Amino acid sequence: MRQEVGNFLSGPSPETYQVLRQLVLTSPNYRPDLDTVDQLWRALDAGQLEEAEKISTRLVPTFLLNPRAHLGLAYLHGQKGDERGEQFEFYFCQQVRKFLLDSGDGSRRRPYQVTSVDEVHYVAGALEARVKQVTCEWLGGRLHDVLLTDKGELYFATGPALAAYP
Amino acid sequence: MTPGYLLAFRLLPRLLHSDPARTRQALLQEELLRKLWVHAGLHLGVRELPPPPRLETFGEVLLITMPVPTEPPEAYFLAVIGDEPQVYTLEMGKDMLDDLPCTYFCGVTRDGHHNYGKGCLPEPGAFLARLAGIR
Repeated sequence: MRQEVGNFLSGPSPETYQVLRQLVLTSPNYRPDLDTVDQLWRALDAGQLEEAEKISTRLVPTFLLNPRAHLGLAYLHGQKGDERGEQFEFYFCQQVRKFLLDSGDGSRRRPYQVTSVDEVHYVAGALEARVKQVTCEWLGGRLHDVLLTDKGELYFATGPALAAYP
Repeated sequence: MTPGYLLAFRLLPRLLHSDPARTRQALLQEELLRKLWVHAGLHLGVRELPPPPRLETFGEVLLITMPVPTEPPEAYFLAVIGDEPQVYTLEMGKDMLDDLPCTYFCGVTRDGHHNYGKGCLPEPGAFLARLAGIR
């Protein structure tokens, strides 16, 4: 995976992003049922840097493409005075954010391609859409989340995550 | 909102109405119910979920026993009947006259939620008998 991450960061494109996404989804250690990103941020908010450091070792592979995970890591590096690590993770965050938001438009035809529920709510937040309801719907035989928001319905391809729950 | 409410009134009904046969098959064969339960917990940020709902079949009725409700209008049971699914629930409620605890017999269609009046005891047999009475 290290090679593929390098390819993505040195040449970010829909293709190199999709390679990483497939690696995440097919990893035997993919655990989208865990709330590791929330755990990381709870530790950071409480100023528990050692705990955050421990949690950060559990982010990959599941949350490799999660912008909030990389933002948390950037913050953690910053708190530790590691400027280079902070800049690296901030760049990583910007790139995965861009390709996550470009992965769809939220319509039935082009749902956002996510790897966790956390990303569903990240996208809604990035679009400044206020979530009123969460529902699920089959589209073409695949399970999707549908968020009813003040900006209309937003579709997310959450089937792969749901299928991976133990 | 609780995971029980999200599952019974939001996730499952739209899923059922979007593709009844696929949902029924996934409920019976792919542990969909347990996975949707985890999914509901993640959406709500619930860190410790109660045990998941249970699924049983009685003829063409899929009976889902939800975790014990903690507040109205959470459901005790959800029943799915038929290929063009009719979805019924037995919900925790309060009597509007005397404010005492009671149950309501309700349905969830594509158009939304419908209250069909006072329900039965929150027991599987009583709920199944009530379902038999409306068919």
